[in-house]
Amino acid sequence: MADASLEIVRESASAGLAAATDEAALERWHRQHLSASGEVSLLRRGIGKLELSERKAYGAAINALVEVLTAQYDEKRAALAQAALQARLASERVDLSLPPRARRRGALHPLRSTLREICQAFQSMGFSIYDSPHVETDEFNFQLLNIPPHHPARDMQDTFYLAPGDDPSAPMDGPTDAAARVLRTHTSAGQIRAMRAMGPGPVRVILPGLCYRNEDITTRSEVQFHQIEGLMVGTDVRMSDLKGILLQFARQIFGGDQAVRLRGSYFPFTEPSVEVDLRCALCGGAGCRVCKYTGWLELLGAGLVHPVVLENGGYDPATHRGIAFGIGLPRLVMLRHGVDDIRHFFRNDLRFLQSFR
Amino acid sequence: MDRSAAPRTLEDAVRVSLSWLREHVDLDGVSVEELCERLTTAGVEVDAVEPTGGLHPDVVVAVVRAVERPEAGLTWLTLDAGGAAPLRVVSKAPNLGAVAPGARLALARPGAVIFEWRDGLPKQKKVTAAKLKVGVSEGVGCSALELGIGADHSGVLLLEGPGAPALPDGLALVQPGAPAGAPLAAALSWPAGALADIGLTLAILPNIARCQSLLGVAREVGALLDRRVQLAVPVHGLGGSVDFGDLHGVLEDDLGDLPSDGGLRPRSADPALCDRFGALRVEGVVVGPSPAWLQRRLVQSGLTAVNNVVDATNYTMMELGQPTHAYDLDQLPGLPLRVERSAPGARFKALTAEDDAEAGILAEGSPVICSGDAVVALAGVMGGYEARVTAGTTTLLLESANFDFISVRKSQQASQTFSDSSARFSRGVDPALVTVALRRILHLLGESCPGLRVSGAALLSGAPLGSRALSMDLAGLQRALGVEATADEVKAALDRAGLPATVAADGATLQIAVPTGRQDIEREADLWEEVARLLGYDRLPSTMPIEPIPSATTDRRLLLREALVDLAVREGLQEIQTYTLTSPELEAKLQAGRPVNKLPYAVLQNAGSVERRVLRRTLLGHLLDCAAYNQRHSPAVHIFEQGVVVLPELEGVMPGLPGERERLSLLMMGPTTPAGLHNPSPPDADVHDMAAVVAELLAGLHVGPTRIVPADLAPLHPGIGAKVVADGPEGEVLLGLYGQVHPSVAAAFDLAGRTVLVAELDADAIGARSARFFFAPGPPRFPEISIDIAVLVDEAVSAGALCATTAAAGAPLLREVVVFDVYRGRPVPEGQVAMGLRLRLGADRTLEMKEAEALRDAVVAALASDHGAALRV
Repeated sequence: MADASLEIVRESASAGLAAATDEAALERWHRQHLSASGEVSLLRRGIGKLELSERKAYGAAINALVEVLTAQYDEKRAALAQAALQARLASERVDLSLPPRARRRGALHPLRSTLREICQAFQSMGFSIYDSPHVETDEFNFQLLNIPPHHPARDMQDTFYLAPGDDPSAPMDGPTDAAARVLRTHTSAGQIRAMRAMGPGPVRVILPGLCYRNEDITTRSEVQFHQIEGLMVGTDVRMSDLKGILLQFARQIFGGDQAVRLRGSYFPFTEPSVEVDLRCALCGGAGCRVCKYTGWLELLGAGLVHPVVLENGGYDPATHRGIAFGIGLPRLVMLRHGVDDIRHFFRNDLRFLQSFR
Repeated sequence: MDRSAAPRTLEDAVRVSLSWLREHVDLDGVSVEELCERLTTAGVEVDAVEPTGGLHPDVVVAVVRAVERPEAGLTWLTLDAGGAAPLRVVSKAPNLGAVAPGARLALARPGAVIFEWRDGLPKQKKVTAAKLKVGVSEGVGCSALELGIGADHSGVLLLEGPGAPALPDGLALVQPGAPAGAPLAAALSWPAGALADIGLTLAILPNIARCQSLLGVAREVGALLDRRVQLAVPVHGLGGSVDFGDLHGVLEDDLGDLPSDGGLRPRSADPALCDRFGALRVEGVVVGPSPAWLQRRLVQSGLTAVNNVVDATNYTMMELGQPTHAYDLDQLPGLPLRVERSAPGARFKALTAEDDAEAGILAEGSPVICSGDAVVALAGVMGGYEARVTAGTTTLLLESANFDFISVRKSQQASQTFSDSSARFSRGVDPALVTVALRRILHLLGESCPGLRVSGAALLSGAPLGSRALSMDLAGLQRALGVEATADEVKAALDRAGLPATVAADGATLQIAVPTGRQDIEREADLWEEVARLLGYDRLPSTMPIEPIPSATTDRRLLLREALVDLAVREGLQEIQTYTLTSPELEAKLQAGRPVNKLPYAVLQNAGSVERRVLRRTLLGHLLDCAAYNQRHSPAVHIFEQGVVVLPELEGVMPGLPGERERLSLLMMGPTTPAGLHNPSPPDADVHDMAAVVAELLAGLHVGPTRIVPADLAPLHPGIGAKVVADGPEGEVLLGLYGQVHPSVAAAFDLAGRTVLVAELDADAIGARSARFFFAPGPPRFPEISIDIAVLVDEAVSAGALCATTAAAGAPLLREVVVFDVYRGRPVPEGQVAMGLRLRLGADRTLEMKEAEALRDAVVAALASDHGAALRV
């Protein structure tokens, strides 16, 4: 009799549990069946009315019933929690193909980022960085570099001269006047300053900086541009070191298997003078539009420091030699990034600059 | 040293005819590519290789499509010449009588250059579409003679088709059936004896002046390729020939074998300008055309044949490199010729001038040749009009002189007259050639004037000519270049280049006799270059220095500037770079809304443009310009520049040079972040954003204590601006300024109505205060206490002042004080402001509450006494 009533309770309780579909219904069910005032507790009260011989079995049956119902309840509760979590997760889905949050990003100017790489390449070869003024005297920019007044080399550089005062109509300091002030036309102007500052000891410096030329602004030429001058002076400096250093530099900037070639040239402040060509990084030397089908790109001018310049720097050309080179930055940046117009660099259109982030 | 950013104006170019070159150097088996490559790597850059002498690229193969013959002897051809539309061309050539559609002929399209022959002399002529009485002719059908590829002028050069004759002068068609519009140069072979040829354009650097002559190039090519050369040329006298490769024998030539005439002996008022000048009186001249071979050479070298006299002087110049001049002696007011500096107001008319042109006034002191009272030539640059050679000339005065190259350089610049002559003199010409050239001209002229006779000769001659001895240490050469080379190898290379060398008995040194023509070789280093060029730079190995690396000397200021730049990038600002040159007007706009101060500038003497005529004193002008430029397409502009400004009132690195200062300047305008899906309307930047950036830059460099002082400074809003100062032993130091741009300044830069924030910082002054070492405390070991104080103060009292007082009164327990609340309005009385301060206290022990209370009381009391602050409860 008792077993039958327990079975009825179990069945109805299980059915009620199955019908509970949310947290509230589940708790209602728990109160109704398993709480202290619930249905099962009421059954326990009936134990006293039983024969002593039946009490033990009946108690055990109730305990078993509680165990079963509790297990069912826990299972149901976990299932409901899981379902609720799934529902929440489903509702929280985010479309990650949406654009990311827009953020402000700063960036270096492309001229500076390549300039830094160049400086690092030379610093790794023991070069220090030396700074020299933008406004120079004719003497430092030309004369001490073995470019006397009316030297043909002055033709290739349209020089900006400063007026003596702030009146441009005042009489011109002629180019024969060593004290006439010019905007440096090349970073070579700092060579003498570096030698005089470091002599009689060895020199191994690069001089990066802006240079100025009085020219029309076109897709290929600007009134100002960065150069990186290199200068090494010592008792055992060789022309072959120039080739080695510049090969190393080219490999650091353009990659592992670059080749360079030296080609005879002329600069008043070096003797011998060479142009250094880089095997075209785009076609690997096969010939393309960028290298004008020569397989080589003109990279920079270089040479052994002219004895007169060494002397002007305070060194004895009988005991000391130097190598010097001058790299034009814009061309290198244009080459690396496919920039076809030098004017972009100083026009500062943010749409151009931000592409270098 | 880099010329990549500059056009090359340094090099003058010379054109070398390959067929002429082959007569003096054995180039059998040498391809044009090989030749160009070797010349280029040796510093004689081949700029262009092109057909010369007539086969212009616009001379093309044309196919006849239709023929009309409206009247006898006149043929209208409709031609396919490769263009979109056919060309209509008219011709009177007799051989077109039988021409029919399908025939191919040589057509000069408009733009082509062909030869027009007058009096048996070729003149180059550019073809244009010609409006004739009978209609517009869009080109010229050309004969072989007009194209410069043969002597035939009997009709238009027909290539294929009905009525085509055999090609004249051994011309051969190498591309039968070449399409319409194909350049004729590609379709035809290069016949021997044709004007057409390959021309090499060589860039001549200042130290390669010796290559401004055909024989000079021949010697160079022979030396570089180690090929046999033949440099002797026939001359009048001296046994009939002179070897250009060894002029030693002519150094003492005084023209003594010619009839001497003291009255011809030129005078030089300035021996530094000219101390070598030969003059010949030549009679029996018959002016007429030059022999065909000579004309051909000139045309192949890019010159035009004029007449036998002028051609002989030009030919000699092209061949030997010595410019000369022929005067009509009967037109010279007096003899001898004199080299002088021109007097004030001296007049001169060049021989190239129009007949009715006025003589111009020469710059005073120009080097000139005078005859009587007249200037008859600009020395070394250009002959005069009056005494020029004309058809009627019968007696010549031939001038061959050597002029100082700097004087000629100055003269050609001053007169803006550039000639083949000045191109050579301005780089230096071998003085030994003065007499050789005269003899060469006599020889050439004799060919066309059988009655030619020298009736007088004189030579002005200063210092005797001779080679200079220079010695070179072989070990020194090897050390300098880093290359192994034997004495014999070096000697052979130098010998080939015309620098005779002898090896000393011990084999360690070489003695070199530098000839008069090598003014570029002054010292040993010049010989190193010569050897490197001749052996080839590819002989040099790539080595890393054996010199020890000197100690690092990079100035810390440079590193700190870069660090500031990185901090600005980290703050989300884009670096820009602008011109160092600007205009005072642009910078004056920064003072808009204020009385304008005139500022001192470093001013260019020769500015290229009005916008770039002074050196900037600030970076802000260009930053604002950049913001205005970008606002059209970029709503947010957050930018900075690091660069130099020039302040002439300060002293630079040495007396006489203006002060240069490195600045870092910033500008913020518009939304602080880009608007986007997740942030559709971000706030615009205000002055507190800029304050944060400035604070980060200072903190990022660990700059010691600074103060922010309100300041009314251009270009800032008078109430929204501050300067950043530091206190040092030298007093207050200005590190920079920042704030909101004055509305009038914004308007002046086309930014009216925009809120623009700027800062300009002295990069090096900040760098100088950057701590090399800074203390990084760990997290506090004992709990800290935070207390808030709210006070009422007068509006005029700044938050900074309250914080400073708090910091002083709260020492040593106070670790930080920040303003966390500012409130105006009810119930705070008008004219007052409520300010909330949050104090953080700490010590290396556990603080007691009563210590915190005592500190708060002390702070409140100090705020009350210093600022009249009342505690707000």
